[in-house]
Amino acid sequence: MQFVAAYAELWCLSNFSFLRGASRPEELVARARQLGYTALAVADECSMAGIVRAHVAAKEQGLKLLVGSQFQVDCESPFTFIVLACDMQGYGNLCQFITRLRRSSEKGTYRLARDDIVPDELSRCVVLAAPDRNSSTEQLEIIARWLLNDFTGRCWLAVQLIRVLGDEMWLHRLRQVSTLTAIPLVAAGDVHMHVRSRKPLQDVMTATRVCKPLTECGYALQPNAERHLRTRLRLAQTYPEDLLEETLQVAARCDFSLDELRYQYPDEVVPAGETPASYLRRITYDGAGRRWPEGMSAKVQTQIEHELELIADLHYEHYFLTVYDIVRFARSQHILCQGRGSAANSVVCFCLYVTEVDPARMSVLFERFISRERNEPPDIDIDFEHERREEVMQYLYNKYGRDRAALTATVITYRPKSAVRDVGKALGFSLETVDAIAKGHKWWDGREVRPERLLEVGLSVGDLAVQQLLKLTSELLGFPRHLSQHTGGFVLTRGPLSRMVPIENASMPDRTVIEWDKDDLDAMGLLKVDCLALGMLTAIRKSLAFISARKEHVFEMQDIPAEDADTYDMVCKADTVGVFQIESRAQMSMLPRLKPRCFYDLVIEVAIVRPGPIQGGMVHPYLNRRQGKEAVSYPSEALKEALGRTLGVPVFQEQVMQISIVAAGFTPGEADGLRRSMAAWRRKGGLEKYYDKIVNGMTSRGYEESFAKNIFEQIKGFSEYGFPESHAASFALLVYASCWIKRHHPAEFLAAMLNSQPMGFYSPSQLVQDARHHDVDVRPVDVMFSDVDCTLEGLPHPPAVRLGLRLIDKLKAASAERIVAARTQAPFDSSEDLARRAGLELHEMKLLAAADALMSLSGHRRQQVWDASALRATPLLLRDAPVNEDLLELPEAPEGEEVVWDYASLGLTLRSHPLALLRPVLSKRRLVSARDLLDVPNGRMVRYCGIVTLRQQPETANGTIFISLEDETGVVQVICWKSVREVQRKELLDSRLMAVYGRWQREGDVKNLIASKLADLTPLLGRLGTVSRDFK
Amino acid sequence: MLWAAMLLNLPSADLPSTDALAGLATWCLQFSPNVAVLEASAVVMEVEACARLFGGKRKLAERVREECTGVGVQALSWAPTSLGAVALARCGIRNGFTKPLDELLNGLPLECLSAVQAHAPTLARLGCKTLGQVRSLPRGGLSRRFDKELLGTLDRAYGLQPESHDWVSLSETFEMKLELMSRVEHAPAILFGARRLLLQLCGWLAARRAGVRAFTLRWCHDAMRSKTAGDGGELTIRTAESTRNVEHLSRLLAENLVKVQLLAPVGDLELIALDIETLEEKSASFLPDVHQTEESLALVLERIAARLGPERVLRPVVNEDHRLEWQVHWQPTPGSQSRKTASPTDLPQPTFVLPRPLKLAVKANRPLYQGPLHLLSGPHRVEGGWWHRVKDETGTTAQTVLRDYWVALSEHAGVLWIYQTRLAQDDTSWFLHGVFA
Repeated sequence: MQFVAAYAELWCLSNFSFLRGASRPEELVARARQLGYTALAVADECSMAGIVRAHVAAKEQGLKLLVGSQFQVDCESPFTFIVLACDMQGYGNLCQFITRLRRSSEKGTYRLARDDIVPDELSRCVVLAAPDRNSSTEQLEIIARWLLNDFTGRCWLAVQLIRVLGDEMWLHRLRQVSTLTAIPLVAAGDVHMHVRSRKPLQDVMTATRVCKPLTECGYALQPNAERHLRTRLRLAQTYPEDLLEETLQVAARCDFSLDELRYQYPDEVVPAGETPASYLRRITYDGAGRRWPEGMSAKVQTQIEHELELIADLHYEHYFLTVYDIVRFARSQHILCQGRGSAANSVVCFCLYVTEVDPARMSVLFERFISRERNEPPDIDIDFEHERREEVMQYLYNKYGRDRAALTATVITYRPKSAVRDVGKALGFSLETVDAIAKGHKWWDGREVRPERLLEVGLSVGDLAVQQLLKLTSELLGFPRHLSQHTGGFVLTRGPLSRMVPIENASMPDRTVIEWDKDDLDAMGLLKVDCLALGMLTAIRKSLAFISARKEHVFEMQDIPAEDADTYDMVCKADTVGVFQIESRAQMSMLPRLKPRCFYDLVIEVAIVRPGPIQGGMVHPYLNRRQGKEAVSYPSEALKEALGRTLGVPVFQEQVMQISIVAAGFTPGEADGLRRSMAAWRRKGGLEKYYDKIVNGMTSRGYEESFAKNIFEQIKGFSEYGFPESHAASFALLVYASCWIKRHHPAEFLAAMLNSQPMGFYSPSQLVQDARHHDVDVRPVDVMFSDVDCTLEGLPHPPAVRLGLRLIDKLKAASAERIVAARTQAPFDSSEDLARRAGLELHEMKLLAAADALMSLSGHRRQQVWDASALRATPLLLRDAPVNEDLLELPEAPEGEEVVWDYASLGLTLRSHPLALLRPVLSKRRLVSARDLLDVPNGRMVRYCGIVTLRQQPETANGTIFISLEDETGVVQVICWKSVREVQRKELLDSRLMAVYGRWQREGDVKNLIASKLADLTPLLGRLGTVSRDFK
Repeated sequence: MLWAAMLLNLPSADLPSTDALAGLATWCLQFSPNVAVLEASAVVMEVEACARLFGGKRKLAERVREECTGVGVQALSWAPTSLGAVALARCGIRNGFTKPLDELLNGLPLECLSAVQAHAPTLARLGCKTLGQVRSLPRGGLSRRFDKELLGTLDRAYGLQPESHDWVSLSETFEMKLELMSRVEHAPAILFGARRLLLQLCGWLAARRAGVRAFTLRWCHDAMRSKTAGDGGELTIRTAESTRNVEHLSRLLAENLVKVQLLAPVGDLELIALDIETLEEKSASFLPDVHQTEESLALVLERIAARLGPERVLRPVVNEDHRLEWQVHWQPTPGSQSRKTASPTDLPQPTFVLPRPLKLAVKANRPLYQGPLHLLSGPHRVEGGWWHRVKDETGTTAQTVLRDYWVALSEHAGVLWIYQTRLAQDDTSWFLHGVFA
């Protein structure tokens, strides 16, 4: 090979040029390296989205990467315009150029005319023009002269020879133009894929792009597969030597690496006249004064000093101040927020009011959060009330400007469903078939497309077309499809952000997004602040407002008494419907076993029911040790410190990291690399290389192999849902707060939860059922008493909850507000009065009547409907004419009917539970109630029936599905093994009223029904409409 | 009044198509001229007056019941009002004369009349489950609260108000029967009778400003036929463009009838217009315009195709495809012509393409064809077609090609379009694919 001419590919795009490139940036880099290219330019179309991945791969492989972008220039002589950055400044120029094009057109598009290209805008860049093959000589000359004029000395004409008939002629014509204008020619490949075997996938992408099946794509398809990274031998046969030589000249001009990018924090968070350090110190001590009015302890004092010193050493002041600024804004707007993450649970953050986690309660946790050795960037996520987060986001945009603040991108990739759809359409499957395959792919099939699903829709696996479908679909899986916005990760910079990475428009109005996702940011060392939305914060803020109103003084989060025994009693009984985090099925079954009695127990509870500890097999050892069934022991003396607080069992991500350092001999830097790989493993893979190092490292240091393997499993589990102790601590605080409110103020809790919908795990119906079990008086919606939101009545005594008008299906918020406004002026004396003064239309009156909300005006529901429907608009002339209608007395409806209409309009009923009405029928079928089951001994076969309220299949559960069934006496948790679900898929998915025959399993307070047979009894419900929430 | 209501047998809960209803209505017209479509889902007919033509009500009812299943009727009910009959049919009650009509209707659910169904959510919340419960609400109150359709429909269904109908008229479709004067034994002789039907058809088309694209001529064999001959036969004729030119239609028919062998003497003919579309008015200009001549070419082609068989008249269609043999393919004319023209490729194309590439001999790695070939220009690589699947007896194969084309010069054969392709085991081979003029 060494005799073959060297070559640098200058014209190449990756699959981040959506629906064009058929290879990942990593694949391109690896292939270029393998072929011995001198350099490779990754130049995606008007985008930098794939460049970080290419950069990381190139660094690993030791290949020179040229950073650039390409554009289709739209004018009378069209050509492709390739721009490569020569240095840092050129890169900034190019990013800004892309930003300008992207921001001025719709999401995902751009338009570039030749006159739009201002040469100075692209200074410090080299440019290549690749004219269209059909260009006339005049057109070629126009392009060449323009290049010569605007980009003297840094422009080339790219010669693309792709083994078609006109190649020689084309080269000859370009040579002529070159001689005429002195613009040098350079070889370039217009690379779309790293190997030629990707051609079929590239064809599919073309078909998707032009929205036609492949058979009709015609000349839109590339004639051959030559647009791949060709061997240097082949290149040497194709191109004259001087053109190959020229590629090296161009590559030599580009001397830029993304490593040169240096992130700088915005500096306006520091007021004039202060240094960041002095300002942070001042506000920290200001806050400390407010936190500890009677003076802080010496321990806190030393901790603050220690943390400030650490922050100063690592230069993190700006980061803390940025977070402080956001939190201060939110607090000034009375938006409840809470920080979490490795740096959030520090005394400094407590003093800055970023978090409410009091160090006195958490002394055991401190010191670990920021660590000099681990070299982790500070990580603070801030959760805001979900209804008001947008205010915070717009504040950031306004404060820093669109060119310095933008959201992180999320790369939307092909999933089985979308991949099958696009490939199927391209291969000419009928729309129905494609939809059937995609739809047959229910939520529990995992990531791969299964051959069995194809059989279900009548396709044979042996068929050629089906084989092509399967092969291409699996190739397409995981390819980026488009960019979307991250849920709330903001990147803020001191200088213009658009010089670091291009900024695009998002599909949501008023949002702008950078082209990199969070892995890219991580790799580039850019810091982001996550502004996330959390429904529970809304509910807690509303609860606190209700409690304040009842107590007649301001009651805030920090006023909630710590370590309340009644609250923990409630938690131990798993009586946690509606509270934060520990409300899920898995959590609720864990509570009676773990029996949390203090705040730190809650931290463990939150963290332990997660994929990490579950896959690592750490849950049972921990429970056994806690219950005293097993002695507390440590794998080694060295690990005692790391594992002491969790009884010798690793639970948190931090502990696993510590084990890797202490027991497997990782350096802190390697441990950090492992942490990064963990975060990105699901998307990228790359965790396997750590396996040997961990297992061998641990066994050679005298640890048991099974322990080592479990640790590795746990690491994999963490990558599914990384959950460090620092996050658990912040979450546990919200868990405690919501539990305390539920325990001591159940009515306020219910009202606040209903007013924050939609959120959480449970429907309004379940929340109301649960509250009524706790003796909360819930009163029906009534236009004479209800506000838009749910309210409390009968203050200051134990209050009753009055359901709000917002619960009425289809009633517009504006109409509800008009009703309340009209009522505050004067109470309504009749339905007519209501309709007239609140400006309600006939159909809205009917909605109110259907919800039984006119009770105080018209009596029972039938009467309400009769009265309300009389209010149709009469012609103007007759409006004041008296209607002498005889009063009609309708008989009241039986309860069963009322329940049906309650569900139809409100989604809940305050009357009898539907199953109470069905009980005689069910008893006849020997189906028992939840209360009957309470006393059934372990292992007995039982027959039970209930309304399906929840179906859940956790990914860690190995195909098992958890179902919650509800009847008038309580809730029964059903476990459905994979074997049952495969036989009774239809009953499982379609039933709303489900009968289960199975074995009753009880272990202490944990009770489950193990299903062996299911039956769909939905017809018994008649017209009753119920809804199940299905989660993965 | 004696009303029959019929509901079609449908696979789903959707409304039946208007065509299906029209078909059923046409079928009903054999019994009575008073046929109507109600509530977009049922066909009703009134037979009181014409029952005697069929031997009385009972006989007629029996005959309808027996025959209606053949045209896809799922439910058939009889009642004194048409809406009443529809409501009963929807609830599966066949006979509306067993009890007084209002008694029967009172027990029916709200869904059985669409005007009532429209208010079902409200009515149900008033506690009404049946029509009777709705009617027991005060009339004044009902009329004030609901649209006039509700009370009107109820009144008409109960026979309290007269019903009015939009009768289905015959002229919507064309199906005509003709009994021949005498038995015909040779197919061409049918033409005499068929021409009269064609004349009627053309008159009917003219009145509707329409033309026909396809029609079927059916003939029924005479009753005294041999068992093997069957009931008769039919001939469907399609034209490329819609027309109502009697001469043209007769000529097409004649040419097709020549090929028909009658199995038995024919007694009856039936002509059905299958495909009717509005016809553009032709300009009455004295000079023939361009369109007119094109039209006559199409007519000529059609006649040739009718005589020689449609598979003998082919026309080329240009395809967008990188593979030479698929760039052009031949389609039988008269088919619907796609107006879309493929954009031509910018490559030089050989004038003559071999139907099947010819494998060339190779000597010293150079292809031979009437002597050694001199490669002029190339290679031009064509790669693709993996998505083009062709089924044959051995199974489905993809028409994938991977070829390097060259323009080659032969001393004797002129300029050639040849290619080199890879065969099994890394073997390559040369083929001749086309010849430049």
